[in-house]
Amino acid sequence: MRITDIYIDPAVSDAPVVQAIRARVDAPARVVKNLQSVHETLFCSPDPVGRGKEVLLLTQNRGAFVRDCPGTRYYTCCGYKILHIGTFCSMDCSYCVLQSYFHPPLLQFFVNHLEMHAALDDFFTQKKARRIGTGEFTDSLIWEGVYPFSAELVSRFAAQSFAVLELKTKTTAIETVLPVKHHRKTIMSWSLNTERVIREEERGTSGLTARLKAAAACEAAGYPLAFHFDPLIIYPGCAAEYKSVIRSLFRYVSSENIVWISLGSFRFMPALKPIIESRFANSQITLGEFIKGIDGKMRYFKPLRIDFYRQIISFIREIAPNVVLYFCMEDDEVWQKALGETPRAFGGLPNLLDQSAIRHCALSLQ
Amino acid sequence: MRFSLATIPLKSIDLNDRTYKISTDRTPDELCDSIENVGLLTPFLLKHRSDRYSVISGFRRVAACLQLGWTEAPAQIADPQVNDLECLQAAIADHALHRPLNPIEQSVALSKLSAYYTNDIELSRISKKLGMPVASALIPKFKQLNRFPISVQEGVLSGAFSLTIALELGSLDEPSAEALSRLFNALMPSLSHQKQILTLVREISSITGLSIPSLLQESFVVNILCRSELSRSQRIDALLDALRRARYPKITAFEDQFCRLVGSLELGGGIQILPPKDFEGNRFSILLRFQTLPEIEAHLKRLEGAVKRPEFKAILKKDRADY
Repeated sequence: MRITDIYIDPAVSDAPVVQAIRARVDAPARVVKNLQSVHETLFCSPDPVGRGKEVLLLTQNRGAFVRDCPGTRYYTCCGYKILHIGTFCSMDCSYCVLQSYFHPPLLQFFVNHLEMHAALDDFFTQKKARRIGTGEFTDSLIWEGVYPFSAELVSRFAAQSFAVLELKTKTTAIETVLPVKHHRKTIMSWSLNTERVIREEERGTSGLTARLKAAAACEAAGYPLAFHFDPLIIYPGCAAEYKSVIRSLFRYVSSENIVWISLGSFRFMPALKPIIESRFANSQITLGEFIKGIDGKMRYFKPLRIDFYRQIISFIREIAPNVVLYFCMEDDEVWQKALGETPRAFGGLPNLLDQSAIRHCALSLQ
Repeated sequence: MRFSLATIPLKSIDLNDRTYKISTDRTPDELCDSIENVGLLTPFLLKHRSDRYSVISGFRRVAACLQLGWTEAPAQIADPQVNDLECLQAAIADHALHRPLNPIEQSVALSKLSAYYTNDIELSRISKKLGMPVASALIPKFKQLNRFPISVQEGVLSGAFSLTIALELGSLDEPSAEALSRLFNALMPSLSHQKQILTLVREISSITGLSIPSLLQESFVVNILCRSELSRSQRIDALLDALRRARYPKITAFEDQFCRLVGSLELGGGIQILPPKDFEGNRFSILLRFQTLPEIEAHLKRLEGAVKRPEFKAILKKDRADY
């Protein structure tokens, strides 16, 4: 992560986490009374989104630390919870929804960790949800160079047996978590894509082999694993390339240790399209055959999605017939036609994933 | 700012010096008639430079007087201490006083002023004072206009396309901008259709690797433009359809097959089967049009037969293999 400026919310300027980060990160830091001025500075940049990846705002999470993953009604959501530790990402993926999700996006790290731990206490006590992750509004492991606290989270989850933490990443920053006693209550997960997509659309991320080697190292350290083929991108020759990725995956890790694999085709809010076009002039990913989905997002034409999912699933099933597969935000028709069953067959998608977590992570049944 | 009135030999005016020229070129013919009838009511503004005069305002009036065969004319001459910025401001104010400046003239004026004012907010304030109000947010866009290809500028002046479209065209390479400008000038599509055409053409060009001018020379485009039996709006619709087919070949093939399956059911004119929007949802609709009881009874009978046919099941299944 390359930070050129640190801005500090006066409300947290004395926080121990802020002092620790200032000692670690070699960048000028200043306390800003008006946080809006940080946003205005970004807007004045020729590339506010790119600039937002170099500017770190240390502040407090004034909302909920534990929140629902933003799903929409028509498509089936997995009932995931987000542990909201910060926003945005230092890596630069063309398709990243965060480019248009925050206005403007910038690296924010929430330092009120006492409140975060209190929210986790409450989460563990409520026993309403079993799966929570930090990798939705940011990458889970990019913060290790700024403030290595994943180990602390892993330990917290290891001390209970009701829920699992998913650390989702495109990095290989696993050194801090490898030696931690995790009791299989943390799932280490990677977003995977073809070498071509990683090379052309995922600037600054680790290569495919590096990700798979990191996954293998985590498996050797006893961690359960998960993988996300999301976004799946349709382009000429893509099926053979995804097949190659899937074969590589199972050469590095064993299918028995995979808690779940998600599949999600590329989808985006229309507002993201001009951002991709201006920031990634050579990207072709918006040139697929998209329609506007029922949630307002652009999606590949449904018959094309179904055909493509069928191929990907057959590649996975060929090697790992029993691994739990699920779709991120698809409807019953896609489930039925591509997987042969709807989530109802498993008591709903949240239950399918909860049961897999119970099996793989030795969660308590109560 | 001080000016003094004098009679000046027209041959001493340097019409090639465009330092303060704001107006777009127009022929002086109409003005010649006016000057011939009522005389030169407003003397042009000049600045003395070494042995010749530069025009601050009145290029068309000078041209008209020359066309009428005049050898001298009255003019307001700027005092030597009036600087270049003041002359430019006088040029803009003088034009804006007589008529609203067109977008290209505003662009030229703002570009020239920006040599003196780098801040767009200040530029906006000054332009307003000179009678040419432009919001600061629009200034970066306006400043680009006068650098665009002539065909794009002409399109803006003729009202064939808006500033938004002009900016889109201006972001393209010159041959592409020219080719699209010609298309828009020929078809005069609405703003919404222009946006659709522009997006489709750009995307097809990116997908196929064909340049925009080459794409617009492809037979599927040219043949539509040549169909004189079609009205202008029919040609626009046909062009949009052809471009959509080129941009979305799989989606349009699926839609065509849906239409063929529906056609094979021989439902007649009063019954319509409507698919879910973009085939994304799962709910189909049937629209029945009728006036009398026997008419609806006939529709229902036809429908009853149709739903038993394999084509109807294929329609509902929405599988690409069936389509």
